[in-house]
Amino acid sequence: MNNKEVVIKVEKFSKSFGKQKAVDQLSFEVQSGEIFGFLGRNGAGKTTTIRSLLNIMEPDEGLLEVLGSRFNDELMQRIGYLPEERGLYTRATVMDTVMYLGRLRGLSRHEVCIRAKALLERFGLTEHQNKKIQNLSSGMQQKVQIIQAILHRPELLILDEPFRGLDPINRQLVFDTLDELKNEGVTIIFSSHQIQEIEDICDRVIMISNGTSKAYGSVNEIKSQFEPRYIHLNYEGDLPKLKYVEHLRDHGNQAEIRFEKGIKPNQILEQILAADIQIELFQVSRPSLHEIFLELCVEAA
Amino acid sequence: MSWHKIFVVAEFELIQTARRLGFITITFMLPLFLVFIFFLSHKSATYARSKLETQFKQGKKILVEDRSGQFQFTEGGSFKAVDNIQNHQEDLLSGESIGYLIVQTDYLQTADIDLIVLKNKALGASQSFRRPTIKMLRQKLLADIKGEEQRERIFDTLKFKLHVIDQNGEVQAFDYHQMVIPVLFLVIFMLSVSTASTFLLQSVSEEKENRTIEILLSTVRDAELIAGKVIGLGTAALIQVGIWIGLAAMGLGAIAQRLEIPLEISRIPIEHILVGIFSLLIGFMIFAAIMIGVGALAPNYKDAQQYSSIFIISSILPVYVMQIILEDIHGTLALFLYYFPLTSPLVLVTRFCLGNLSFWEVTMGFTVLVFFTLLSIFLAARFFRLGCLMYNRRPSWNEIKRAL
Repeated sequence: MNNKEVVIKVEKFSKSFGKQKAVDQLSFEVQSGEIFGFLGRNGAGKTTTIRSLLNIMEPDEGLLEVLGSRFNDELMQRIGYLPEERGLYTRATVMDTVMYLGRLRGLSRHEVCIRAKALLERFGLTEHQNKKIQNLSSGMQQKVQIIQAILHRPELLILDEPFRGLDPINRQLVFDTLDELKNEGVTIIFSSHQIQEIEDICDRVIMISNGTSKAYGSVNEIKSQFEPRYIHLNYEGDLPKLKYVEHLRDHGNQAEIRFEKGIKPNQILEQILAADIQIELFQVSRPSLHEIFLELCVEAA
Repeated sequence: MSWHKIFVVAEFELIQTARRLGFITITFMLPLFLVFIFFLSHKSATYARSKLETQFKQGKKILVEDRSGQFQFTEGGSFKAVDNIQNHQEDLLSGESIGYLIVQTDYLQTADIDLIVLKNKALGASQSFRRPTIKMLRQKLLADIKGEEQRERIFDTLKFKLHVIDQNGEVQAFDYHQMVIPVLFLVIFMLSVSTASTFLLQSVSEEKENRTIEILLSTVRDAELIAGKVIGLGTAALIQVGIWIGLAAMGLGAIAQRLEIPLEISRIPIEHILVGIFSLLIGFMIFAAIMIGVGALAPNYKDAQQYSSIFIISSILPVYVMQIILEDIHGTLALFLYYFPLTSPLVLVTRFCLGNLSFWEVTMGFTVLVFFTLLSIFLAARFFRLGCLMYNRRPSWNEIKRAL
């Protein structure tokens, strides 16, 4: 880790609901100006951790610090939050909703008005500003939620499943917006169970399963912790039955091979060379984040 | 606590509520609708009578066959003595006469009189003929009493003028101004509790159901949110009730005048007004707290409405037993309801204004009420924190115990 300022510090955080342990001794840090991914299945403990960071829930034990201190009233103006569940006043208009939430974040009526107009324009919602939320599509509602989270130009932005309900174009729009915010120095933490989103945009990630950390660091750091277990093979001829293979996907002259733990790629190569086939490509790779996630989180669960 | 945030929440809640079509409709259309219903029922009640009077003016008469031999009929008036229905069937059928009365032989013993009308006039005939017939019979029965005043007193027998005697034996006319605050309080309290309760319940349940609560709790403290809601929605309720009271005041003024009750605002005891305002605010706070707690704990608005009805019905319990309370204002029931938090605001005002309570009793009443108000606010805040993030489920008893 470098010397960047720590924006979020979670140390040995635990939270239970009745007898069920939602988060167990979780520790991680988020540094200033980075995009930090929070990866886990539904019910892994992502939302509980985020809610506890924002003091919406009280932790059972552990230390949770945001922007250098425990969550307090002053921090409310410095943080933007998009919850996992869509939460908007369905019978209020877009502008009324944005105006209300912006003023609660400490902006004046005038400031909210100017910023809201600019953001509504950017997200293609200008013509819908006087419509009731209930009359908007779910994608538009999600965009309103994103606007309320960034309207007050927070230093820290916490997004719980921000891409939910967005089509590819709006997804790209949000990606671009997050990139811009990052360039402006905003620290962004977002949770998702869409691994590709995390891999595409995050500087560092934490993977959690059953409330405990399974992997933590940059995407490359995490990948490097895993031995190469994948072979991409282009060939001509008949692929023989191979030993030590855990999973094989053969497309005729292209194959993806996942071999068993502890086996060297050479042991597979030797078998292929022994067979009467022409090798065009033999590429060994480490598992993708998606595969690591499946291995660590899904199989563990 | 940030007053700015409380104000923003209150403003939003007030504006959003006041803009709703349902609010506008209920606020302005309900009084108009009630006036319309009152007008219709009044018209319906007087329609038959006024129609009969019109017919009398046109010279049409009610025929009377007196088989009892008790009555003397002279020419003129709306009734005409006849001897036999056979001779007057044509009058009835042609509409020349509007009814035929047969005073039975044993009328003095039984009060039996037969009324004959056309078949299509039968419905409502007993009601519309009743008043003029009674008037006519009374006059005939009292024909021997010569004094005009005596005859008048038999018809207009009694006008009580209420006086009270105090501990020193001094007798004074009863001051109706003592009744003003209890009656007014009863109306305002019931209306504001029921309307504000609905608003609060709706607001908390909606925020829970539409998940807005999570964004709000990352922006404002729960205490600020609750305070803003209570102020905003309480104001909305007071505006609504204020409009209703303003409209009703005109009607009530007319009623007081008709009942010959002399009322002057300046003669309403100031301590009654102060206690009334205090109890209204405290009572409102108790019910606001209850509604916030119920709204947060119930899984949805429908369930919340059902649970809240238990509290609302409890609050109006004194209305049903008000006669007992007034008859025995220091009795066990009055005392129990005086100290029971849900009924306390109503009974406190009634007993304070009409009960000559001792200083000790007044102090105890206020202390208990304030204590329960603080307790209910404390519980509401705890339940709100516990329940507002529980979507589509209610907390278990263990969770509630832990929250406390």
